[in-house]
Amino acid sequence: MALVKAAQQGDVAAYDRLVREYRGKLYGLLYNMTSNKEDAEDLLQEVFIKAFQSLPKFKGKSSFYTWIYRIAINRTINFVKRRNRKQTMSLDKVDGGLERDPAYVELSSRNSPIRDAGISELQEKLNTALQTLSDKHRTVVVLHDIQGVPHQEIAKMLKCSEGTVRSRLFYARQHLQTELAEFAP
Amino acid sequence: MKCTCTNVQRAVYEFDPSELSTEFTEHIESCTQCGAIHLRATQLRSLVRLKAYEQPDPDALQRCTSEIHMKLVEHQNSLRHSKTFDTAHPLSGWRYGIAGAFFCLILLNGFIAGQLPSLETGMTAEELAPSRSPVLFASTNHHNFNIPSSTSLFPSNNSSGRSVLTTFD
Repeated sequence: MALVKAAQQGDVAAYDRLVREYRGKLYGLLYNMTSNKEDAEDLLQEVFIKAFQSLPKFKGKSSFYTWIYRIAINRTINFVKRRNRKQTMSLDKVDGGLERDPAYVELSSRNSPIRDAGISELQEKLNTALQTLSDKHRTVVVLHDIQGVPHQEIAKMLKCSEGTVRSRLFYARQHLQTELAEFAP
Repeated sequence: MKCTCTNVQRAVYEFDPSELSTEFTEHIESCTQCGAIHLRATQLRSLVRLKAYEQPDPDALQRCTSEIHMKLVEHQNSLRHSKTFDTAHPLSGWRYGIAGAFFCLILLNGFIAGQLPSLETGMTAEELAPSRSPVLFASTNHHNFNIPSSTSLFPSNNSSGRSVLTTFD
């Protein structure tokens, strides 16, 4: 909170520290929402600059983390709406840890399509499936299932009820189940 | 919530496994259909979670951070500059007022000049402006109307610098 207060006074060095603290998580959100690393990088800059300019309006009613996530979600949804027709995927590298992940090991031992598909093919399929979701549904899946943000926190970010978050998750997962039927039959 | 198959099957997509009640968990263990759906939902969640392994290029992230820093410093400098300017020129508001008043004065001057009789001809600007009738004559000239030269009032300058009247032929 001290960093936020200093940044509100115009201390760029303090804001730099906030940027370093949240850039990874925010990048993950933007990347998974857009499935395009260049767009995610541009949006990351836009979000942090917009947040800095809006800092005087930040009253501390929610945490800085929730507040900046809200800015990021709104900016990304607007961006995705604008670019929708000319969408292209440009994907990040998959960390080597994936092959050692217990869930991946179990899934690939049970399920031959996952074993047969290369990691890059699996990555592409997952991204394509995510992009078929509506913005609202993709947001909750990215926040909860990929980033592990609790339902209650998502509800604060999206300014909706926890029930709405759960309901969106229900529909999103059902849709993904159909899209990814070959991997999770 | 009642522990029916419909409710359980919805709950496995809506809640995390740790959030399911004991009653629901026991039902999933005993009901083959609900068990299969629960397994599918769990597999799907594990599959989607694998996306977390996609990691940005550290250099790209660092580049982004530097860009953000540069833009913020620029933004701060421009703010500081505008504050300095305001402090150095506290009467800058008056300047706009004076400029506005001066502009109004020019407009007023133009208006008054238009209303005063011309010094050369003794005619006002309205009287000197071309009337519509010559244009009408000009457009109908192919009917061989005989238009007196005095009705065409488009002034032009000749080489001697005197104002002459143009005639339609």
